[in-house]
Amino acid sequence: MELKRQHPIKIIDYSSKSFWLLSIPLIRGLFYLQFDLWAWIQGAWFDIFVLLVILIYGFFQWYFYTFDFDDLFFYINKGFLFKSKIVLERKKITVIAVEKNFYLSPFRSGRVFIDTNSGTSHKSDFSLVVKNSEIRDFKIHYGLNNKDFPGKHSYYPSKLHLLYFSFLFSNTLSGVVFISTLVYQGGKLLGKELELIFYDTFNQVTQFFSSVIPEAAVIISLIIFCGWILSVIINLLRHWNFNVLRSGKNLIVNGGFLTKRTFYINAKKINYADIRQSLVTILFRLSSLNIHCSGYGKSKHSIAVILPITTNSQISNAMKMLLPSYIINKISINPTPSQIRRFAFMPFLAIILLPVISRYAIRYFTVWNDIIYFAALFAIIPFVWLLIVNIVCCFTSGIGEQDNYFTLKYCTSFQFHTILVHRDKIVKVKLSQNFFQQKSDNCNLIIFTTSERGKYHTIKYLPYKKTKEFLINAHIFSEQL
Amino acid sequence: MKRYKPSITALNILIVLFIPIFLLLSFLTSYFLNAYPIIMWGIILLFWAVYIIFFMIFLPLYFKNTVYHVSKEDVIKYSGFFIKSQQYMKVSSVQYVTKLFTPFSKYTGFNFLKLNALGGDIVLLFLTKADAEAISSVIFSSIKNII
Repeated sequence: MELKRQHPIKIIDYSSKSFWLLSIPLIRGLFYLQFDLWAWIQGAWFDIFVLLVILIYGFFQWYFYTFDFDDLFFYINKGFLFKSKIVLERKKITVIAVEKNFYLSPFRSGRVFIDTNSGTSHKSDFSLVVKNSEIRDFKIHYGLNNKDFPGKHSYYPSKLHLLYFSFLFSNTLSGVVFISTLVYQGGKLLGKELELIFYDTFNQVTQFFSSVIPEAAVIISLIIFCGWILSVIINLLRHWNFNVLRSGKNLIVNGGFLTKRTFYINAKKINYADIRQSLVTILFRLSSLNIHCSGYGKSKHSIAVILPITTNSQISNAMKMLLPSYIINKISINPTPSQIRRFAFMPFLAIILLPVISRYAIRYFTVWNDIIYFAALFAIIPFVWLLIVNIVCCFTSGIGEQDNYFTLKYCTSFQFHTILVHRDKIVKVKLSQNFFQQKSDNCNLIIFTTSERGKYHTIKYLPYKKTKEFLINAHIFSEQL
Repeated sequence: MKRYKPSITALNILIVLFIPIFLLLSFLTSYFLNAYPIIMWGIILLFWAVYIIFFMIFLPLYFKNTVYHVSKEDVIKYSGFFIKSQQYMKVSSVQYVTKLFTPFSKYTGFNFLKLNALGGDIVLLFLTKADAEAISSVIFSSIKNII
């Protein structure tokens, strides 16, 4: 077995974040001293020593990390003080991802990620930085080259669809976290000037609008808006040139502008398909198709999408090519219309209580009355939206089964989900009734599907007796309940 | 399909075990808050209200309503009073079983089984030792046959 090592650039990766926090100020110091090396070493000898120790530690980690693969297994040896050997069976692999980062391209290298159904749920089981030639060998060995995919079916969404997708499914919070990290770390690395420039610009924009709207409200709105815009840009760059192919048991997803990513997904390891819609996309008969598979959609900012926003008819046609075994069944059990009051109760309560609470708050905190008024007004809007979503959910949610595939329809916060799952991927089923549900003979059905961390789907306020009958007739369990 | 219930001995031990703990809490409250009698008595009454509600009402109802049905194909757990739940798991989904036996569990009934699947689990609480061994052997033999 010929053991291979990762690309030497990985030493920098192993050298930890402290490497950049130390090296950039050191290099800046050298510039200020006009490259007077002796003065520089005299002043910063301890920092230089620490940097060398970090680099040497990174080198040892790189040197003692070797890997190899054959037809059946993937082997990894790592560690220099505490050695470990990992043997991974090839047929357990769910997803292999190849990533070509723009900053690794000059070094003719890329990343390979390998994932299985075990391991941690927030990152890949194995991640390697290897030369491009080794990536080619790996793909040839595992039959992942283009010529190994006969009879491909492919789908290429339009750029406009990708733009709609990024607008609708961007996460404001991740954008806000990204900006704050960038400003904070940028200030630490490059000096306080960058932070001050950012804050000055922010203050100027705030003051421009504060004559009409309370200053604090402008700040919050700006933060949310900037976070959302950044998230849209990140999503768009991530899914640029997006396309998906199906050949045999492989589902191949490509995409990315600066960083090109290719995911080779074992279609048999897909846990379920998820057709997602929002209230707006329902009106325009649009939806997006996601899948749940260990290793796809795991990293930060990534969404496990197969078909970004497109028409419902295109989703059906594309699914016949890409996921032919998944069928959208008719719903056989759904909440009765009388349950609408339960669906609407919580958001309706929030809509009633918010003005009452804000009125009392204004009375006791008169200094803050502008901001309280603004916050209450803005807080009511999402609850009104949620009320409408919940009312629609009452009429659309439910469960159906045909040919061993279950269709589950339900809502989580503002999104509508249609889950298509094979019976073998259902791990546990739970019927839950609170005190009021026991009196009115309805229940919540919670279905747990195969996943690294507990993934469950809750369909609320189904008729209890009919649901039990359905579970028996669907042969989920062999014994009478 | 065989039917199992949590051990009543475990319930009785829990009820008795926490009496000295709550007595100690009451004593400490009276010692440190002696200067504030209203607050002191309020907190002591609260402790005993929690004890009565949880150990004299909720826990006995929980033990009464909890039933486990185990066969070679399925595991079903019925539990709860205010919020009733029925959990079903196929034995073929079970990846591994965690057995927890506490000291003197043969007499106390503090034996627990956790059936772990890929994406969910079922916890069987307060089994007698014999029941815990019987359930785990049924599941192990089913898993062996599946493999």
